[in-house]
Amino acid sequence: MIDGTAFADALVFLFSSWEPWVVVPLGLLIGLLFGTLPGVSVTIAMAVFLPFTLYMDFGSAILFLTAIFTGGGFGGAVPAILVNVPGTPSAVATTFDGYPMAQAGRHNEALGIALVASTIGMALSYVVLLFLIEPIAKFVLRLGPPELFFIAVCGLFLIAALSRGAFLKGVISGLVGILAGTIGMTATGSVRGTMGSMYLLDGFPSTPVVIGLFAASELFVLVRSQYIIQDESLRKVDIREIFAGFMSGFRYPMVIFRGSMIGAVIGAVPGIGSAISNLVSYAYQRSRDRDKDSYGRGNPKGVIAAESANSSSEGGSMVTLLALGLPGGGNTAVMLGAFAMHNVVPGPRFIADHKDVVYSIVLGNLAQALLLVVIGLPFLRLAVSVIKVPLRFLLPVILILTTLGSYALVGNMMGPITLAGAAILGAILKRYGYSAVAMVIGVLLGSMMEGELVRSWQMGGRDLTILFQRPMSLALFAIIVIVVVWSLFSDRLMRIWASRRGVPQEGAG
Amino acid sequence: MKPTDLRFEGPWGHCALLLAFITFTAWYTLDASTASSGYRDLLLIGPVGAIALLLCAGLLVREALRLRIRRAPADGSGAGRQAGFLQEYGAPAVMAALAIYVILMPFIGFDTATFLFTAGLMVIQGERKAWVILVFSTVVTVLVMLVMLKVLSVDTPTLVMEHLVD
Repeated sequence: MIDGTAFADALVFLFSSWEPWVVVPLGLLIGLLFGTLPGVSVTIAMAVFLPFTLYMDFGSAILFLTAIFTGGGFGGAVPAILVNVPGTPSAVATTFDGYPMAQAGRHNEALGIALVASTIGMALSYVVLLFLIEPIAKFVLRLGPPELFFIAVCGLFLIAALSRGAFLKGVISGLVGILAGTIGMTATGSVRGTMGSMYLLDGFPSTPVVIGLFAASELFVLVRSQYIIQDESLRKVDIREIFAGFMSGFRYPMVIFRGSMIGAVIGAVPGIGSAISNLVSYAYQRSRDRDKDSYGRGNPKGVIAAESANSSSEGGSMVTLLALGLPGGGNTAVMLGAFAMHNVVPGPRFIADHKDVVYSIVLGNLAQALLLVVIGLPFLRLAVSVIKVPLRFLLPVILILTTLGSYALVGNMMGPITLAGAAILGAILKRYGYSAVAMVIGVLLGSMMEGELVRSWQMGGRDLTILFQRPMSLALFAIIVIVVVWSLFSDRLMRIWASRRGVPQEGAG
Repeated sequence: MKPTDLRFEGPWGHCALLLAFITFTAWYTLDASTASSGYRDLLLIGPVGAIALLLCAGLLVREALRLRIRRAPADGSGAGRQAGFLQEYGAPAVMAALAIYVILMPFIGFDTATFLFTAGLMVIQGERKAWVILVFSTVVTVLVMLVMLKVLSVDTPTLVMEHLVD
């Protein structure tokens, strides 16, 4: 599976020049900084520094960009844990347990755990990439429109199922999100839902929607508090606790492994990967744990499941980029730009002809995992200090960064307007128990779902029964049915089971 | 009967949200069907819109049955409400401030709007020292504008900053 000569060439490339070892730590630091700032996405960081890669050789350029990708991927966990603001969709699930841990004064531990999960997750995904890039590429190529459509539907229902006791509200959120996600111009040129605005022709910008819906509910609530952590005695920054959290992550090797594998596989699916992998991993981890109720209340395993998956989806997305030439998201799209700047075309031919480059990217990223620990630990020491800042100073800064960040990202007022609208909607959704996550997934995947459904319809000769004629799509459909049935009836079944055994019901009376 | 004598009980807010969902879904599905050139543009939106409408309508009917309007003795004092302004109205006040900030940005310049928004939010959250508000709002505005204009090179409409930077 590994070409020895190409592998040796990759080692020679990595160790014969100082350039990769200068640009990688620099890239990690840039990524950490940009990832930590809510609203200023990693994609922006990669785009800002893309021109600099023109002066590097191709391998160093890609390593530099993947270092920003890696640093930013983990950096996003810092605001997700400390202020409940995921900078990107891939850090959404990190907030579920990371923020409750921070509120309980376990922020140092949560960040340490996130760091170890991210590091190992990323390393594992690149090991998978090293050994399985060719088989994975073949597998992804076998996924047709029906399967991609069902994967998206599956993701949506899994998220709705996470809204415990409010499955229907989760489904409604998701459906409204799908509709909002399809606003704009269709492939046939018809324009819908834009109310005549040319800014909406491409639909709502996704990052402001994500930040608005998630950041809002908690930021608006935080107005009532003086500090993120109310108890002063818990408001301490301790590198030893961060390190202890880092070490404690090793107590859950299987959680990290499962999250990494989920992230690597889902990350390889174009257009879906990073947005869903962390949520699927979180949902899967919660579903298989006996103590389900502890999730969402500060369970470290929730942070591990989310962080290991979102970091490993980086390796997965690199599979798609390198093997198929398809960028799975904004970050890999920027990387594709770097490929173009160096006149390199990724794809099956690239893998066959330039295995040494592929291996050097993989090995370089494995080294990045180690460097992330070395740079990440002292960086966290500084980043955690944010909890000592009174919210009357912190809150305006976060809201301004997210608003101006969305303007910088979109390039016009549609960014801030979308962010403000989504922020207010997010607070209302939370007030009435609707899943903001499901709505975000709907918005992110709506357009892609429509595209895959239309392609399925065309493949089936204007007939949608093709959705149920392929083994893999049938299997995915079966999973969806199981999730729906279980979500609708599990509580009733559990109640019947409990009443027969005389177990007292939570909230009874 | 004075309006203040009425007490609205039950999930009024939830019903309003469901009505908003229904209105958006119905309008968007109709707009999409009007704009579409054939089946293919409605393959997803048609069924999704229909299911969303059904679910929202079902939930709305269930919730509407719990709505109540009762007579209530008028509360003349209002003293209790004054005490907890931040607790009760803090979140809506920040939402309104954010909306106003975004609306004003292109008209009064990003720098001026950012300065006013920072100062306003600090006041809402209880900061009363004028010099702290002034200094902090100025520092934040200058720093973020420098990042926007110089580091990210984003074309940002400003009232004062672009002249200072140039």
